[in-house]
Amino acid sequence: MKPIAVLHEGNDKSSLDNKLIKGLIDYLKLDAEQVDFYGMGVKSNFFKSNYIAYKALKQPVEKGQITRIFFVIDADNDFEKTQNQLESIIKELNIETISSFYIMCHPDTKKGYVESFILSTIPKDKMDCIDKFLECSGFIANNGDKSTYERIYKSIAHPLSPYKFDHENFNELKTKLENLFI
Amino acid sequence: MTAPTTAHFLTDIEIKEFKCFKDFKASGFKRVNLIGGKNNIGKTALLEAIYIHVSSKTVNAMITAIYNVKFDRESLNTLYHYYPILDHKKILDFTKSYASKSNLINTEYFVIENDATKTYQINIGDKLISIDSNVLSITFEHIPNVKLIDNFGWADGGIISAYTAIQRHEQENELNAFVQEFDSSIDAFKVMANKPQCKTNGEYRDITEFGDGLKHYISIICALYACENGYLFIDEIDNGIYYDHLDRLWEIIFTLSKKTNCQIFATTHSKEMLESFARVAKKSDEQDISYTLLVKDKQQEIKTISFDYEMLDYSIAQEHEVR
Repeated sequence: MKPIAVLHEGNDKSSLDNKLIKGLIDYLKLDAEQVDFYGMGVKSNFFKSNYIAYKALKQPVEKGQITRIFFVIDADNDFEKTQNQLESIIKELNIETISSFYIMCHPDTKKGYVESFILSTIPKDKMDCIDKFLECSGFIANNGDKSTYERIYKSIAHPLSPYKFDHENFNELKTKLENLFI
Repeated sequence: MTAPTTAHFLTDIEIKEFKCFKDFKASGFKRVNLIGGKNNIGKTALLEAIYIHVSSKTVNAMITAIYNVKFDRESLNTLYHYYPILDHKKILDFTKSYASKSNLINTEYFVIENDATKTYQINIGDKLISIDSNVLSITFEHIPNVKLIDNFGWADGGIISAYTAIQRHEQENELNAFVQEFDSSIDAFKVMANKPQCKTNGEYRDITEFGDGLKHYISIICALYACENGYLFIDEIDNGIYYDHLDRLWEIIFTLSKKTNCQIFATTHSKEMLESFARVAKKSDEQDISYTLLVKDKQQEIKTISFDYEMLDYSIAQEHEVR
């Protein structure tokens, strides 16, 4: 068993959270072999104590096989509510001492999701351009989907370097990730 | 006629003072149970402990089971005369202690040596007896529907004995069909002249002339019938079996163990075998399964992580390291 569990939205390796965290682990030259990822599906599953991922974590935690749990979750429209719910479930599961979390959002507005977080790391002039494009295209007004944000980010902002890991907005996430390996 | 019950199935067990187990607990066992873990962590020892436990119907049967697990491990040494004289008591005395408690029964076995005396203390279901070493006469009593296939596989005698169950159930044709699936060049399996033989190109040849995988495969199928309403233990189940046949082997085990009401305990360290187990269970919606992973905690004590069908399915789908 691997000692670090990273819980993220989505079900599998193709989810953006998974790719982002894996990319960051590689970037930081941390030992990826120590990490297993737990796809949680939709956000609401994080707050169900009987969800299958928690069932899978219970015994390995009790038997000392998993020693760190890291939650990666989107803020959506309410950062504080997400944080409160997360703290509540961590307490209910009795895993406070080994758990930490990072709530994905735009750092300035404290709203949004992993895509908003990634978009926050691109240069302002390019971001303004994207915002203008989204506004003109009616993307926001039509409640455009998250994956389109990611495509816009990759194709327009950083076509050669998908994630700008040296951006200061990644610092807190980097520190939290590094702490998992101490 | 009433349907066979699963009341004899072991669901949980505590093992004390046996080999690597000081104070060990395992639970969540179902009809088909796979046991995994790193090398030398105690997979085979757990298999042996459960084998002794469910064999302990009588004092003689318990002694026979304790003897068997040591004898099986020493069989090659015996064959090559590292034991000049086959001393049954000496083989039995390798095991000094064994205690187990389950949903079925409590059993204990201790060899107590004081000064110049040696006593065997045996407790089965809270009936304690003491036997002075000088008067102990080992009388082998094998429980017919409890069988252990060790990692070397069965010798001819084991296969011949189990094959009688195939004959009793008139399942020779089914066995032949399974064998043909395994190797299309083999037409049939039979015991002739007291030797297990396979027919190929119109001629019967000793099974020893074929690969170990075929012998292992036939042993398992015969044993599934021989262990009707009992227990089958298979150490390193994937031994000699090509990966292409793993799914089919599990399909056969799931189907026949249900048909014969047999509880299975098998060990593996193979990722392919574990993935095949989970894959076939999902495909056939076979939920009466468990996977027990043996691990060591910080104090180096052996613990278990028990996966039921749902947990195993999730962990395999997430590509977790669960060997």
